[in-house]
Amino acid sequence: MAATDSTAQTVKELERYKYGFETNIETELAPKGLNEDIIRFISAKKEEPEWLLEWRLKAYRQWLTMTEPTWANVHYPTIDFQDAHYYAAPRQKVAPKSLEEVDPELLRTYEKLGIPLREQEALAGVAVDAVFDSVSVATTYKKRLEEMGVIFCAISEAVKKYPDLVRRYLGSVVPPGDNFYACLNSAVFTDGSFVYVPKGLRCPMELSTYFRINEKNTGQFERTLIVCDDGAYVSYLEGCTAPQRDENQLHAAVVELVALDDAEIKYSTVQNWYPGDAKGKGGIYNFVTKRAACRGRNSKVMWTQVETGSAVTWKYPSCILQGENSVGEFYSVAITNNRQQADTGTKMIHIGKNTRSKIISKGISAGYSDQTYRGLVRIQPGADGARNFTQCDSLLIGDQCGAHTVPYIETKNPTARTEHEATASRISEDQLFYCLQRGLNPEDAVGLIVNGFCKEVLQTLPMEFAVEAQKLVAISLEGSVG
Amino acid sequence: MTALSLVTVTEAAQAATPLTDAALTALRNEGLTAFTAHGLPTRTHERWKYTRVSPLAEVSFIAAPATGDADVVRTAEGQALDVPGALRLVLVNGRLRTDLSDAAALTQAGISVQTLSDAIAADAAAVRSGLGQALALADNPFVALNTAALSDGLVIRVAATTQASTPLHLLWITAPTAGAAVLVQPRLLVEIGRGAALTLIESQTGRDGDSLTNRVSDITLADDARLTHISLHNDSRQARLLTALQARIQRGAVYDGFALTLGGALVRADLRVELLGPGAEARLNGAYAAGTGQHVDTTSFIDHAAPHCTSAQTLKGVLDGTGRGVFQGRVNVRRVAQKTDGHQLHKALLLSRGAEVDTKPELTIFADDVKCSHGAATGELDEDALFYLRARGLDADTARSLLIEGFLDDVVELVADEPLRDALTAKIHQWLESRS
Amino acid sequence: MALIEIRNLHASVEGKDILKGVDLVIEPGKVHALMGPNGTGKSTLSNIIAGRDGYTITEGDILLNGQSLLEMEPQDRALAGIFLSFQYPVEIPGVATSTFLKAAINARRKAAGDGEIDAMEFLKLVKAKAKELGVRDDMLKRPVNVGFSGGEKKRAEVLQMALLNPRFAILDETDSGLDIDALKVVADGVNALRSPDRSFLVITHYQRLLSYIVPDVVHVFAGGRIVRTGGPELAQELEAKGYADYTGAAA
Repeated sequence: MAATDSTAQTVKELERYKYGFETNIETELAPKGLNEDIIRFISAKKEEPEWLLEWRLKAYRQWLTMTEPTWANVHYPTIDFQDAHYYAAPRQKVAPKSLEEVDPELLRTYEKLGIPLREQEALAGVAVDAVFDSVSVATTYKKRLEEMGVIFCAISEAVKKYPDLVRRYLGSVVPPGDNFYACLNSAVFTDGSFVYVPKGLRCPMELSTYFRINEKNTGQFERTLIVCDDGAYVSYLEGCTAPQRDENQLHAAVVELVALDDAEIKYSTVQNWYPGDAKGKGGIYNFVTKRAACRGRNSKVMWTQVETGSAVTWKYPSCILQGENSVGEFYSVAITNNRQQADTGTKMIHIGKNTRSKIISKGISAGYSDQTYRGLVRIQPGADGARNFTQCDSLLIGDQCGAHTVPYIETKNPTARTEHEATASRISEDQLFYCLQRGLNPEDAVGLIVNGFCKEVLQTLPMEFAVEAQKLVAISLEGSVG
Repeated sequence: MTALSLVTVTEAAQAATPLTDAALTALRNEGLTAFTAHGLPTRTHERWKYTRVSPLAEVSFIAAPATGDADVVRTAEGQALDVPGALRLVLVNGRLRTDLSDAAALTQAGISVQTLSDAIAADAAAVRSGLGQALALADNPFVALNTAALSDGLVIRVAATTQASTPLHLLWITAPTAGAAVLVQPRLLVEIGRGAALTLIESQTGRDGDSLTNRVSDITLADDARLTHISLHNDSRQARLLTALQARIQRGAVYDGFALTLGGALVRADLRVELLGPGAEARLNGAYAAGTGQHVDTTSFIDHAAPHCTSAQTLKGVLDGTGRGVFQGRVNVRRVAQKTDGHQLHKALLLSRGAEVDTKPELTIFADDVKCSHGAATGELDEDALFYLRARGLDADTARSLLIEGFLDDVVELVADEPLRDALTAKIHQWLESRS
Repeated sequence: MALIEIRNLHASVEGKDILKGVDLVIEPGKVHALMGPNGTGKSTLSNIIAGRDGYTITEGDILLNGQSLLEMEPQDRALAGIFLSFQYPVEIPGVATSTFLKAAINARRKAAGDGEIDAMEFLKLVKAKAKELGVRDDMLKRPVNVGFSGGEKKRAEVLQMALLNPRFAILDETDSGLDIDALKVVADGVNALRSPDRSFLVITHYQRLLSYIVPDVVHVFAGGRIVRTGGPELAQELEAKGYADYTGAAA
């Protein structure tokens, strides 16, 4: 798309949810239901070592003793965990060794999603791991990255090729028993990405995973683990879409980040799972646990999320700031329209001295949707000189939606300083009139103003995705302006 | 968690003061049932997340005796607010002592002051309708317990259009019995008629000794009524004080509240304010200081249930030693409440290691044409300001005291009336003196 | 035919009458000045012409080239050629001025059935106009009106006017908050836009601006309507005598 096209024009050309198509491909499915045999089945499919199977089973047994959390401000019918397939994979005779061997139907799917996987067509400077239902189907630029010492592959592959690294870090940030969904994920996770950036290397490419749920009646339980060794840097982006269906589907992912001394991880998400239709039928339940451990001195983790999809979102990307001078940042744009519900925010746990955190959250509620920012800032007694700054702004569009702000701020150190500000209002009529007077139509005017409202967050995205995200912001609000 | 002794004492109180009115008797029973069913709140109750009351289960409470000595007033006076000219009503262990009160307080034109039991005897239905229901018994165990014990306390009614020229000062004195923990559960009903105005001052004081004061206030403001409500919590260092206030504010009425908390081992204020008619306004400002062994919790819920209402809440706290401060504030804007203006601010100063503050300001908004905000900040004294003062020749302690005083006085400025402001700043000053 | 014709316009806000029978005819190419005491409804008139919500038109009509504007949405009036230079230009955080200008230009091009403006062409155009008006390049990158000084805001308004080529421009108190240098720059910018098919309504309290933008016709506005009309000399007279003669009409 030519860069000259204005956002407004592009918005018109796009369908409301252009990723709603389905790929017809032969799929291998595990039988419906969840039990130890299914877990053994998944583990066997992935040819996993014994320790991992044991790890999964232990998590499963613990999960059986847990109950679903109910504290979030989201409402949905009880999920029947037995009524889903926990493994779905495109049937391939032999595992593809290179992109040339990948089923062309799959390549076409990703092309349609705007993610060409053939390297000559792919975005230069962005390596992609494509996860289709339960398996990673392709990873681009793998060779080039390997030469530099960067490991970027499916986690199932990493289990085989780098067992020591995986065993050392898996579950070290989000232990299996952390919460109901993380525990479920630990038992049944299928695929996801693994990244290891060696000491001192600034990974020159953006790494990206594109998650696609295709099969009906499945859940997606990916697991991502990113380790940045001393002085290393990586920028990682995940995107997600799913076909338009009337049934709800569960997505319960776990993402663990580990930043060692002087390491920096930038993790960006553009979450655009199918949100359900205007009446609230269908859509993804997005129950995700994302957490970063800033273990090293001067380490830094930056979460950016643009959340426009899913019927229900429950997600709190967090930072445990252990290392002295470590920094955690959370930038979020969440847009809910129609009947969507989102309960999202972050946790910043300050443990080390002079740790700093910054939270910028922009919530936009429209239609009949409900959105909650839920955040925790905790300053532990040892966190001398810790600093937190939080800014949460909510914009309400229409008088049938809800916007809620629920921050928890716990301070146990007198030398720490925390600042929290939150506002809620609707789009100013003065701004709207100003835009209309200059000839913009109301929908474009709202798109423009909302993009301005989100600017501070959107500009933290890698350039390649910032434009896409801006368009997404405008599209997500379509139909919300009367 | 069950707290047997609280139940036993309350049951005894019920037996000792039978009510003839069936509705109120039923309400009492409802309260007792709710309390026994739910027991003491634990930290899994969101609203009690930061305040532990489970140790109450270990205490053996007795009913507070009717204490006779006039001496109690002298001790209390040192702790209470000093507002010259205010008409004073003294309540010892929840019971009005006319012998110790200003006689004029009971005979003002347009202002009726009765003990709760007299008010019930005169018109039980009127008392019943004055009891708020915003703090539902099932969710508020201490309100349930207080309701179960309903008999001690006071009813103040200001007739329509009456402009009370003199403030009323309620001096609550908790007088423990040596060697035992007393339970005091008074109830205060305040009804301000249409277009009427009153300034109500409350000082909670107490003598040394183990006690639990569980006080509930029900406040009703009719259209265009105005209540200036100043409260001081300055109980003894062992005292536990749980207060709950539910206020219903009608069209055009203004509730202007300010609470200062300085004394008490455990002080918890539950504030529930409902803005029920256009133009209603609530201010819930306050300041607190907590040193070693003190826990001060303000939990508020401001419900915008009508359009064009305003609420503002600024609370500042100073935490010293191992003192702990809690602020949980929720502003709820219902779908009908367009044009709401709601603002909330909490600032805390931590003076020492071991001090802790937990803040949870919360906005729940269901209308779009609103201006709502909240802010929260915690930190230590500003080093630059300290240095500035020292560069002007002040010693470090004086400089710190001055800054702390300034930090708290700043919020007292929100009280419009000067004598009231002076009374509050005098107490803050007294606290600072006692600290050094 | 007149470019703009306002006929016996009556309007109220929340039941309060503000405009009480405004009659005004502006021919193409003419500059009219509307002068009068504060608080008499001058800004109300400009807002109503631009189509702002919140006013009730109780009587009368506003015609642009003989077509009534009253049923038109604000953006359609803008596309038809109405431009309002706001007395208090609103800040739009996060939206770069250049992005905003491009969106406004493209809205016009789209209405005219043209494609979007080419990025290079746009930049060239904006930079040239910006230079003429003393609008620095960095202002184009900053969010719309955010952190602009009073003078910068007014210059940015005139820049928008220059880029959007209106048929009829209303300058609402464009001189307020401007020092003499800024005033000259703004006036030069406006004068450069004067053309036989474009008309202006300059609303001002002071004669000062009219020394630089010399009007063809001057109206005195008081008490919700035009009470006197004359040539440029009327502005001089008002400067000398003040509005005392007219404040009675407002009562």
